[in-house]
Amino acid sequence: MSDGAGSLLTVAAVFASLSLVSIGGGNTVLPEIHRAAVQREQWMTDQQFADIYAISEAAPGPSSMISSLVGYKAAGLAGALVAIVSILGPSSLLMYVACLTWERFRTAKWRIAFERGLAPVSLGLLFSSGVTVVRSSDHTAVAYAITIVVMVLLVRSKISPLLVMAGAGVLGALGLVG
Amino acid sequence: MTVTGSAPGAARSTQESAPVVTLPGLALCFLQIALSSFGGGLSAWTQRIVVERRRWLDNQQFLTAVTISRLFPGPNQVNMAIFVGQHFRGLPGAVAALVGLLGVPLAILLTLGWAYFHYHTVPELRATLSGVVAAAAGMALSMGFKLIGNYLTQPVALLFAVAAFAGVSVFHFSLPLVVLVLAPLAMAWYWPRGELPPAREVH
Repeated sequence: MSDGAGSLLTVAAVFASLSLVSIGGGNTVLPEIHRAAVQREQWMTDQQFADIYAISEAAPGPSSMISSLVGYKAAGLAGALVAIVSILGPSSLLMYVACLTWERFRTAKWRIAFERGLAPVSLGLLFSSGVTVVRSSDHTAVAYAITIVVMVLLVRSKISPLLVMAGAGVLGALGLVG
Repeated sequence: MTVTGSAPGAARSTQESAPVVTLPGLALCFLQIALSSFGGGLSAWTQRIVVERRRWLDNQQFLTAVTISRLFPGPNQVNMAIFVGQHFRGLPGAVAALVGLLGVPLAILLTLGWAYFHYHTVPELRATLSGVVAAAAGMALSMGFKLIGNYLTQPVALLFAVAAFAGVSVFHFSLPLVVLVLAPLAMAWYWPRGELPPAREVH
């Protein structure tokens, strides 16, 4: 952290270059962040990266916020802010412009068709995301059981998901899932 | 709470009661979504809070917004916040939603990171996380079943849903490719034909 301005620039360059290629959520650029942080810039060890990944998964907010912890390790608090602004800025601007365009065509026939047509397609894609999460997270019979019970509970009852999550967390902490 | 003057939502509310969405309201809503999502499941929480609880968007608007958010670069939830914020309050709305979504989580994360790097403690997270993540997966799956509602009686809509699911989860095509193929077909099928324009759009 001796060369403050220099490392801030490096942090900005690393994350800004990933912003517009992060299609499909933050996890797609995770391998790239790992390569930059551990191998190329050597801001942290492999183990540290794995640990901050676990921390950022557990903390609330989008998973790409791991960027802020990488930036923090590289260049302190300023590094954290630079990292998060760099990885979110370009993509957010693009999304904003897209939204403006979308609003402008509110009454266009293609937009009505797009909204009606994309809804069922999106529904199928939502099931796909669910299956992806299950495949990447569940490796034990207990984990699968938790997933199924939670799914049924949330569809069939008005129970608060927070309560369900807390319950599952307790099972995990007791070592029953892993 | 009386809203007078030139609030953009006020003009429309005579015919269709458009929800009154304020900037603090947007920030609070996305803060609530962010804080609810320990261990994942942000999308499901967005659906629950924005659609079910506050009724800011209907199911169809939500589904479309989710896929648009996923097609553009950037984290889905960040894009979703921009979509909802912009929809109701323009640029200030988008910023308010983003601040709500990211502000407090960033503070929490940096505190945890600081503790980790300075005290080298690995919080006993992994075991707890394994349970929470399994539950978050269940929550993600539950969202689809909640939204399937009326589509169950529409065979063509179901066909599109099944095709999209199979494309990604069975045949492992990329999401943009699946949308690129299915969206034009779906748009052709759902193209508005000979309908009167919606009454509320008369200017």
